[in-house]
Amino acid sequence: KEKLNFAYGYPANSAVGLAVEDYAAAVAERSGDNVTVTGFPMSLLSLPETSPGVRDSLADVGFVLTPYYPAEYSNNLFLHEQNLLINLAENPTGKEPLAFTGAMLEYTFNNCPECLEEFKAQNQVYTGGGVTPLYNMLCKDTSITTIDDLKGKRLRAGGAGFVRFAEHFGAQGVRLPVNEVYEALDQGILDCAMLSAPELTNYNLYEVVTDITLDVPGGAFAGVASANVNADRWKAMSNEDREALLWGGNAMTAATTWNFYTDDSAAVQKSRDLGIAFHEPTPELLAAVKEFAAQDLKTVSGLFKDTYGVERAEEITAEFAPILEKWYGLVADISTKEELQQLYWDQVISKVDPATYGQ
Amino acid sequence: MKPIGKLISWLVAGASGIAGIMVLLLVSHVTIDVLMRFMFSTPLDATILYVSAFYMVAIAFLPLGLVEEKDSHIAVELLAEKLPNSVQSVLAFVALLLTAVVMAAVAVRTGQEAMSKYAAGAYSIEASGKVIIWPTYFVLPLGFGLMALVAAWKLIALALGRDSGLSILTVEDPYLSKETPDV
Amino acid sequence: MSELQIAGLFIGALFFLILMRVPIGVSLIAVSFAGLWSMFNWNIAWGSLGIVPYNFANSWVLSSIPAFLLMGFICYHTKLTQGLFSAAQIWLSGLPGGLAIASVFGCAGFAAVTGSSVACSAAMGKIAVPEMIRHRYSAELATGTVAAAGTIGALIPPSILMILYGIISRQSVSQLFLGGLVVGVITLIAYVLLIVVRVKLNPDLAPPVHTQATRTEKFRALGQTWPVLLIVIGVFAGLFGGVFTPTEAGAIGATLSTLVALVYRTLTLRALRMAIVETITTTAALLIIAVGASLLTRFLALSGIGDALSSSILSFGVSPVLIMIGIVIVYLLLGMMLEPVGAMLLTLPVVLPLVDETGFSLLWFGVVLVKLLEIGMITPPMGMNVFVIKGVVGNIASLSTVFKGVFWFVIIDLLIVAALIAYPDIVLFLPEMFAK
Ligand code: NA
Ligand code: NA
Repeated sequence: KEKLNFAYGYPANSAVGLAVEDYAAAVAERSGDNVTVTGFPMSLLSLPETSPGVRDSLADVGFVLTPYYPAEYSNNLFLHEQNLLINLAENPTGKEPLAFTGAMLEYTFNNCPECLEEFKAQNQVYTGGGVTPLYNMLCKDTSITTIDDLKGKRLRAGGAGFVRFAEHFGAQGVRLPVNEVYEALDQGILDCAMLSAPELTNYNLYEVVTDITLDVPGGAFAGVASANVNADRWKAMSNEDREALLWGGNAMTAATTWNFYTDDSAAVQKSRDLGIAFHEPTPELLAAVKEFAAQDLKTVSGLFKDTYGVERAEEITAEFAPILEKWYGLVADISTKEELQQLYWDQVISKVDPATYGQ
Repeated sequence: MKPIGKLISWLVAGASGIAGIMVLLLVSHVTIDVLMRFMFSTPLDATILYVSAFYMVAIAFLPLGLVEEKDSHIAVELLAEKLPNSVQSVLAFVALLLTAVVMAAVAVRTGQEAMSKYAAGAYSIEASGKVIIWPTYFVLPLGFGLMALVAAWKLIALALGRDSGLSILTVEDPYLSKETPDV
Repeated sequence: MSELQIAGLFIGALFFLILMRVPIGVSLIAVSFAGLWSMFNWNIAWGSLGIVPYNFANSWVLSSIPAFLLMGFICYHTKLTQGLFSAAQIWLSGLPGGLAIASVFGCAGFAAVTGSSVACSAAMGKIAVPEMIRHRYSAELATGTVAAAGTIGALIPPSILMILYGIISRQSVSQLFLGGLVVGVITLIAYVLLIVVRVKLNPDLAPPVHTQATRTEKFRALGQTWPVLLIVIGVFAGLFGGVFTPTEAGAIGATLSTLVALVYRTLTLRALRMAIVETITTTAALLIIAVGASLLTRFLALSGIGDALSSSILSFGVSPVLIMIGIVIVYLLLGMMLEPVGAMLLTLPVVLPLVDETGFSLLWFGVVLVKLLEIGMITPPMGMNVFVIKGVVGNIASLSTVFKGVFWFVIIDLLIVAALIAYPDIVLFLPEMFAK
């Protein structure tokens, strides 16, 4: 009998916490209760501690965010940076994050040995991913609809890419931890925060946000290894148990992405009900956002090749885009979490051989 | 004993000196960032990274040797001070031994972590580009190591019954230096 | 032995080491390490030592602590605080324990600027305690007052603890802030009354000063308060004017104090050096304890304390009030050894569902929880606020003296908690009034 501890730096009732429940159920079911999983929300390892924590076996499984450790995970991070491709989608359906998850899963498992090597170097085995909804402008007492509206605004920027976005449009990118956004919007230190809609619920931003512009700046957070297993633990397991963990990783990937996806529409609906104003970006602004995304993808590719040691940067960019296109088609008819889970399993994870993977 | 004690005190003073500079940098960096953001609409890049990874880590761990040297650790005297003197010196001995061993272990472990960060060339990606952060990890083995060293040296001095030769830096007080109030 | 019994054994060892005068930080690290090693294996224990210290200190939010400490030390070493307390002395001479009462109000003022009670105590400790001692207040009353009044820092908004609770429980932060404001003000009034009564009963605690100051002298004294007032007004205006965040407020306060001291012509290189030395030693002495406490939290989490907690709470009975009393007792016990954030992360996953079943509102519980966790900040043996005060006052008072000093404040706090359970509307009326 195997008992595994799963550490994740989010509350128990969050999208991630609920996904971990799915993970535990999937693993128990698939292994015939031979492998049991206990979730540890926030108390065992914080978000930045999760990667080293799984490496040193403080937890057996962990929800690892690769952007915390760019030197260790530069290739994985480069895949995440492809998220701006979402903005370039020809006919956006809102399901882009579901497709991006699939594309990233497929590319990581099948086409990116250096990505898997990075996890191996951290004594971890990758078994799943996940992607958040699109980033929006959540503003207080100001609205963003035109290119000019962005000029001189103070925008909360989560990472270097958002700072580039802000500067491109003549705004200021202010780096603040997400749990300080509430106060900063309230006091007027920020005009807007570039965050996905579920953060309205997670951080109670409803109370301060007055105006929302959806899909600007766009892009999504994809730097997620949602169920990394400690490699020593993995190697000591039977093939059947490993297969159960892959099944679990698949469930985790689908549940994380699906929970975020449904949280997104729920958060938007709740905001409308509360009377928060929603604004449509002008076609000029949308075009400018697309133009920025195309340009920034080139910038990022150059940066990662020259500065951050991703040797295949151009090749990865070239290979990844068609896979993402394929996934836009694959997710088109998906309407439940179970369907999504089946899709990821059939397309990607079922093809992973538990006997040889992660050795 | 004296020369070694002096050398240790010199190392401790050097490490604390750096921590002191970091405090000033922290305060001025944040102040300038706020001013630039508010008055000139151009916030500084990577303030959060510098404040947390560079200044805070240094301020938290570099002065540990000084804290040990000055005996300003926070400890509970309540019960210990009621015990006979002989027992108290045994307790002091045990406390120093435990401090030296535990801090040395933490220094070794954080040192390993620092070496692996050095090997990986750990950096952070900021708007201005790559900021190297692996050196900040070396602050921990340095700080914990100095604390272990000071405790070990005090232990040796206590065992030999000799003066440790560590300098005792006293903080002067503008109000209370002349007469001590009845406490 | 079960994992919980092992955990109990190690908690016992921790108390023993602390009582034997082993530094608290060293005791916590040693016990957590040994606990993880014996309950699990060497890799887990050894790994935790490499992960926790760096990630704990690498924190933007914590940076307000050295900044507020520096502000307090600069104000003190450049004598900026003298005028304020002379004025308080003259104006409050008729009031028993006037300076202690002024300190409580000072803490409440700082509470509105900082989000944590440690930052609050750090800022006020060096400003208020030595002044009270100079006016022959008992060290117990002087230190105890500021340590306890610091807890108001997390009740009056902004409050890091309430934001964290809001995130975990999905409760409205602004509603929590309103409830916290009420409880903060109630605590403030109760502390003031306590000081008046104690000093009336035992005037030696705070010898009355008989100054026959004339009206002109009184107003001249007020004139001497400008340095501190300038700093406080500057920090307030900036915070509420949207210039900086509560985390940044400490750095702005420290810069302002330096500038004011420059204008006041008391800023010497020596004073600055003393302020910096005290800032770094106090920060390091506090953070090594916080790192140790954080390690202990991981040990307790892995030992499966969560399930044990919920079963022990349920053992109190089935009625909502009995369960709530069980929860209060559990938090008072946890508060003895854990710091608030660790205690919250460790317990909320099991406690929130229990609270929900009792029918008490989660909003109400958030405010009561923060009050309980803040009581933990001043109860022995692990009381971070008490440690801060001990850290900033140096040899003026021993740790035991400060703990003795907070005793009556803890009693008052318990009465407040009892009142909040008996009359939940005390917490809820203001949030409900402003409900959207
Ligand atoms: Na506050
Ligand atoms: Na306590």
